[in-house]
Amino acid sequence: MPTLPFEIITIILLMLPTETLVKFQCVCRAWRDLIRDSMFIKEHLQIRASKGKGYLLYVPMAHDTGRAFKLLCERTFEQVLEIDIPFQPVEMSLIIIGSCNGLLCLSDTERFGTTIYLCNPYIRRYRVIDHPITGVVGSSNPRNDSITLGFGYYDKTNDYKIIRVVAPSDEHDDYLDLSSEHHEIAQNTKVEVYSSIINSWKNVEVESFQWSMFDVKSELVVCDSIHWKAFCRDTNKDVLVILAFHLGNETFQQIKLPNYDVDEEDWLEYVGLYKGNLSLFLFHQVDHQHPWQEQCCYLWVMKEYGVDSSWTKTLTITVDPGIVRPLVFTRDDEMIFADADQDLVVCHFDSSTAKIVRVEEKGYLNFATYVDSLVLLEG
Amino acid sequence: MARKNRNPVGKNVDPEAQKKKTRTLTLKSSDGQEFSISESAAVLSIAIENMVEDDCAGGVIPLPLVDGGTLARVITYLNKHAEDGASDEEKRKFDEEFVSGMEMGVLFDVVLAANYLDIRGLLREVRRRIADRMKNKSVEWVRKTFHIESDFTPEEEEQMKKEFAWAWEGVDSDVDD
Repeated sequence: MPTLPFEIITIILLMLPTETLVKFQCVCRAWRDLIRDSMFIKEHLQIRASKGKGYLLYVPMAHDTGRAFKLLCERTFEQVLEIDIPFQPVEMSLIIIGSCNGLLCLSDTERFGTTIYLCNPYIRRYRVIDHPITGVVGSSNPRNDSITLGFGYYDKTNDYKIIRVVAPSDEHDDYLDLSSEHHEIAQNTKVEVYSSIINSWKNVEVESFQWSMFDVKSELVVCDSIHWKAFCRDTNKDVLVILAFHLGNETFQQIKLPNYDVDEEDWLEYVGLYKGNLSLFLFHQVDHQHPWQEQCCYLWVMKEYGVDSSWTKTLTITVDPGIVRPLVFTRDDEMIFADADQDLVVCHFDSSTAKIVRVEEKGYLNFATYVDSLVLLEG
Repeated sequence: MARKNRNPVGKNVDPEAQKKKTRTLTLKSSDGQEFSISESAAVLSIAIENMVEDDCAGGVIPLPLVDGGTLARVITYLNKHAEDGASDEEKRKFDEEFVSGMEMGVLFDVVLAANYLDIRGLLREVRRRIADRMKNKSVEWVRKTFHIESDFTPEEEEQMKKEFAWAWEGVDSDVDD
């Protein structure tokens, strides 16, 4: 049998499934080093992604026995795989901060934002992230600090980053006037970024952090920035905006929301991704007297990223049953939400159809889209 | 160097294309066997096309890195893909059958020839087929097939097998080629 040159072997290996490559690390040192190489891993991921095979992943709650990651086929929603959690989490519910390229960023309900894991469940690899640098300086009660996390991938440097924003609790015993309280919070909000390349945290200097975070976590990356809903503090009133943090230059930028509440109020906003664009999904909290009542929802799309005037009301969708909690936007332009019965409903935007998905567990499930990959194999 | 239109089923009657169909080239394998092939089929190999353009045409094109058996297979592939009126679907089916019966050693010979002759479609097809065959194979099978000696210490190997034990589930027996 002839011997193949290494460049042909490399291309052949790129076509193999993730689990096969994990096994073939054992062939020899050259193969192991190739399979663990970050550029190989990146290229392998791109080839897998182009085949469009993806999953939806969730972690059942703490009190469920035999807790494991459950992977559903993203098209049929049938469970195709169950993977034991490779580390021993505390007896609390795990929270998925984000999912990207096969890598999950996880925290738990007990010490949200302090205990953080990076985990590639498919290849059973995980990393316990070192404690972030600090809490809030001079915080009277660190347990009341409000922590917001974000997780995203920065392609240019092939880096997975975790962003952590810690603000002192804004409950004060003494009455303070709003503006001086705002001033204090702005001065004392800390921003830290973890980089998977250097495997450590660093401080991000923000002169005066003028926002109060509304979302506690986000994985929504558009144009290399991660996005949360936040209130921009104003001396008169707080204005809801989308706060963007650029993963490359590590600065914040604010995106205005469209003018959607002219006719009605009480909208609930969910920020997501629709056909690659930053989107805003608007719905009403389900009416508990009539949880099955049809709801009219809107999807606004920011056609040109960062241009406030490009917000366009793109879709009007009638959903039945009503939405209690949006869970995730899928890659197929669908949104999964929990209804009043805590069942999961998949709503397909383009066809405006909804169907109920049965999963074993009910309740407060954490959902993420997922692809298998070799990321984190290098250790 | 000007690239000529390589589409063999062009609708317009291009006199140059007509000439290529009737003109034949002779390819000579490493073991001295000679094969006649129409120029239109031969130039699906970019390496041969370059040789023709560099004016080796008319004579015999020596291919010292390809043996006769492999060259015969490659020519079968080229002829099918240069065939007038063969639909994409037909070609796809042909490709599928063309590689399906090949043993691993033959696939290796063909992939090397396709690489050397720069026949992109064939290269892609054979690489994909090799990858498919490897999917559920054992590490030992891979070492034997690719002539690789393990350079891990037994302890290192044991450690890796233990660490990634889950990946060893569902390995086929190595009987198949």
